[in-house]
Amino acid sequence: MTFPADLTNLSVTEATAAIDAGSLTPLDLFHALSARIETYEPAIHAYLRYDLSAAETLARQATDRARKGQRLSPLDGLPFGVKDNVYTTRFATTAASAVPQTHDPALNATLVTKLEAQGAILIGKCNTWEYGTGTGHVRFDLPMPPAVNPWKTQHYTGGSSSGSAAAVAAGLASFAIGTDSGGSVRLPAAGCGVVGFKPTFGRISRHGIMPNTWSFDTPGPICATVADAALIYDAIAGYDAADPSSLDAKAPNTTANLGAGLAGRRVGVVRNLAGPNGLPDAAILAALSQAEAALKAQGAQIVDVEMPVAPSEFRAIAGILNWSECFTIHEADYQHHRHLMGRALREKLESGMYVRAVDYLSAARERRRLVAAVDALFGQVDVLLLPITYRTAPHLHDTEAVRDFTTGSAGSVFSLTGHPAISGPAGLDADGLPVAVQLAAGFCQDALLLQAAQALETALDWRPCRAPNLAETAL
Amino acid sequence: MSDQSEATVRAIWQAVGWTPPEGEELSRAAEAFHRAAALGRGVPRTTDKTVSPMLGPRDDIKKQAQD
Repeated sequence: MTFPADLTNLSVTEATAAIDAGSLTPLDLFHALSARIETYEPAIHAYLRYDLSAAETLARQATDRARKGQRLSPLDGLPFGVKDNVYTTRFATTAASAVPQTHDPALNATLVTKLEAQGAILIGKCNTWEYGTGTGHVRFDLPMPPAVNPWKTQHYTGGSSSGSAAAVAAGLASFAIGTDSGGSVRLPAAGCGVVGFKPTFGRISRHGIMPNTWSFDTPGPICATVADAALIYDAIAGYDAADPSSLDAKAPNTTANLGAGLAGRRVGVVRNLAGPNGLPDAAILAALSQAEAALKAQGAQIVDVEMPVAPSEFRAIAGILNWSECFTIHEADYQHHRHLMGRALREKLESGMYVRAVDYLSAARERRRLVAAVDALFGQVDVLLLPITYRTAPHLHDTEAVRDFTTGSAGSVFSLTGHPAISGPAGLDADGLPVAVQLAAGFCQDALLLQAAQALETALDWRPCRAPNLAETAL
Repeated sequence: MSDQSEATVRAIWQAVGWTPPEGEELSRAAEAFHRAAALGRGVPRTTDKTVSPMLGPRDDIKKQAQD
């Protein structure tokens, strides 16, 4: 089967420009996307459920609006997926679990309501680790098989927003939404060669999202380009009284000055990278060096920076807090339905059950110190450059490597602190698997962070994001 | 895991009013107990008694959002 590859490879920004120009209709885009879903989804497992018939109806409505010059927003007519820990009225939410769910089926997450109100078309619910959380292991014991990496389908995607990243990388959605409590947006984005953005904690409402850890959970977009991330962020950011952690302050627009560049900005390059599992792979270190050179060439001032501990060591503190909060949230499910849970979720919850209060509170005290130390860095520099993963996506059945992809990553740093962070592709390793780097900025400096990421994307030529050889690897 | 670890886990479950697991589930529970204890041992302690834990609303972020 052949596809109009120029359509399925369009970024959100490119697609919306083409719709505005009249050279593309939402229906054309939907048909290209649905053809890919029908062909590749059986091999990729990006979705737990989807409804192409309903989406086609919505695409026709969006096409009518576009023809009349009445588009609701730049996202009007753009098909997207959401991680299946996000409650939606139009689709059941199982969080990839066999455990019966008890939420109100009429509940629609605030961010989904916002996207739908702006005309974006929800295609379906994306695959995830069970309950959007776990130990890093993939155990092959859930109701659906795990999503696979569109770049090499024998390889892991990264998690926990595995299907969201796979959907974007395979061209099965224009963009997707994930949730990030320790790297769960950024890690699969890195593994699959796309952009993953975790905004400042509290900027995007968590109302209507199954909680994992109250003090970490942050939804974010997974998409093809930094400009896409900015567009989607602008569509869903902002105060929500229904979320007690929501920041009660206006979220500044991020798209207006996206191309402002980095001239005169200070970029801190994190040098103390050696963690419990050593240094990042050579390909990732090379990508960091290339990114540093590119930022310098854009006029940024490079500053050597040391974090209070190596980036991959933040997880030891985050883990205590994360496990305890997660068990508190899901205690009743564990008590009554653990026999229906996969092993990874059960083991995480069991670990949380045994955390001593003194360890939890000591970790919360250490968190205060680490947050202050990292925040102080943003008094010296505007943006930090560091790895997100220390390895490229391993073979899906390499059990320990799959676990280490998460547990040995730098995903927890900014989940623990709450600073905004973004991962973006920076090339391929010798095996053809995506390599990524991470940027972070000060609290509420989401716009500045996206500017920096845009400058880096331009310099590194991150595109094409979508797996080019899908037909050879998936079929 | 040792019989002693499994006995500890069994005692915890009974103390909270739950029926303890048996067999492989008990072994895994004992492993989880060790995992949590090991991670807890690794958390640095501060001798500065004035440092309070970071709990509740993130006022540090809220302050910067309003600046």
